[in-house]
Amino acid sequence: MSTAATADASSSGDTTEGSVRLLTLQSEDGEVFEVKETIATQSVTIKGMVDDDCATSTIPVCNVTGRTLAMVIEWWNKHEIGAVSNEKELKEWESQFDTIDDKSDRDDVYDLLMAANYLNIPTLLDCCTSAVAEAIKGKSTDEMREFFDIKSDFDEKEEDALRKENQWAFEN
Amino acid sequence: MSSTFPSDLIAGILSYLPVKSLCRFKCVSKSWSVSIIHPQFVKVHQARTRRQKFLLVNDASFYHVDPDTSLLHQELSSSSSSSYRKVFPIKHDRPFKEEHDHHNFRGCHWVSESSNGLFCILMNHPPDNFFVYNPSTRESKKIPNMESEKESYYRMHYTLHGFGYAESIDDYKFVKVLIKRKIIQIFSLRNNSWKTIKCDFPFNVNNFRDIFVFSFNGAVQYGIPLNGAIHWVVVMHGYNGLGYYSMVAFDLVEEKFKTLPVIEIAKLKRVTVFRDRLCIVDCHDRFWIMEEYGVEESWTRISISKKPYPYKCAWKNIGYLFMNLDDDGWLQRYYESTVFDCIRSYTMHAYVENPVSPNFHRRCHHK
Repeated sequence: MSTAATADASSSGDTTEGSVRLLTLQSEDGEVFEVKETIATQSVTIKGMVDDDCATSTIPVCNVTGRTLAMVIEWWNKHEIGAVSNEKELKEWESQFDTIDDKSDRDDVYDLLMAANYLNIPTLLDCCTSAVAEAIKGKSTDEMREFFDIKSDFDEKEEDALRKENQWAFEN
Repeated sequence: MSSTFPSDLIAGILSYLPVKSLCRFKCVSKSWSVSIIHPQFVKVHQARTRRQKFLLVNDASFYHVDPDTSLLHQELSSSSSSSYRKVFPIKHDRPFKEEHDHHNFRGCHWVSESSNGLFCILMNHPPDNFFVYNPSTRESKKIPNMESEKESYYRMHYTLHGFGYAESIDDYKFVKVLIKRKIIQIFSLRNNSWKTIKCDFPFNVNNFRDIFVFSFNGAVQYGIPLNGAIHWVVVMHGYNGLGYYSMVAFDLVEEKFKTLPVIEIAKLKRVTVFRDRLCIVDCHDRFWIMEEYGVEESWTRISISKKPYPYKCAWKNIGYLFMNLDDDGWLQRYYESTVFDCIRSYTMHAYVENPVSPNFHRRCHHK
């Protein structure tokens, strides 16, 4: 997975662009991004702040690193309402989740999921969860435990019984 | 940095998975084994995914057909105008638990229409044994026999059977309407118990000409589940000596009958569900669907663009394969005559995959 180099290249530093307001977002680790309001309000959380007139100064986005926030903004730009979405480009962006093989892929998608959850961006959340599901559907129970950082709390007998009951699901 | 997924995100991810993966992942941990069959999760899963599958039943066994994974040869003959797909059914040995030994499996007398992923199945042997079966999880549950209720097949002639799901109460119910005895027996899967109520059947049984028969031998008149009700078509005596059709629906929540309007057609061949609407097919293979549930004017003739299903082939019930599908495109893929020649003489039943456990509520009652 790659991170976008700059988040919103079109931003010229003005606080307005035509009639479009720019919002300033600050990540947990201090990176600052300027994003069009129309784009950022894909986040239900940010939309709430805008509606309540609480988005006048820098909006702190706690729990989300600059690296992840840049990915979120890349997503926003591709999914801007009214923008001509390039199907191919979208597919390409989404295809980065096709394989979640190593630890860093897993951590990236984890960060993005948590950000989507925290910022309440339903479309991104759906996209990430279904992508993860696609990537893990063939995994073994051990791989699942590793992926989700879960310890089995079965005793041996219980697990055997349950495996026997669902034996067919372990076969190809 | 801790990177443990919060449980609601895990549930969100799991809700996209095929049921086969879920059955495997029940073995990940105790909490997963419980949450995967929890009604709340089942609901979310159903809202997210609608995977269409098929159950084949013959005298020897059950077979599963998964159009997503069991397709091996796409486009067997690209030169032919129709592209067939070959599918490979997977045999499910011993569909029912030990106490109903597979040595006794002699096929099914009756397989209900599926409702929200589950079937109700009447075995040939032993008689009077009804099962709730989830083909997606391969789990079954025997419906306890009613005490003092040993109906033999021939006496079932004036009995309507039906199995359906009511979303508002999240319950599956198996219903026997004993018209001549004027009672209705209802088994609730959620309560794991039977009850008997007085029958408010809206028609006088003496006016019956016939109850529309779809079944294998006419002994069981099974209903069509939709919208939390089970539907049967009855044929009534008309004024001019001709019969006319009427539809009764048993509401699974209210536990009351109502009548529904049927479009006037000459000869009814089949009643089913198509595109989530009630659908009737006449003897000329013309299709009507009831666009707006309960509204007579909304019966609409629809055209099926592809060639109709093959009645010529020896399979019983093949028609319902595609009539339960909501995409005309499915139609062609399945009726090539060599497709299922490994299995003879079966009936075929479409369903939508569901991780629900027919034993969930029984487990709860025991605790």
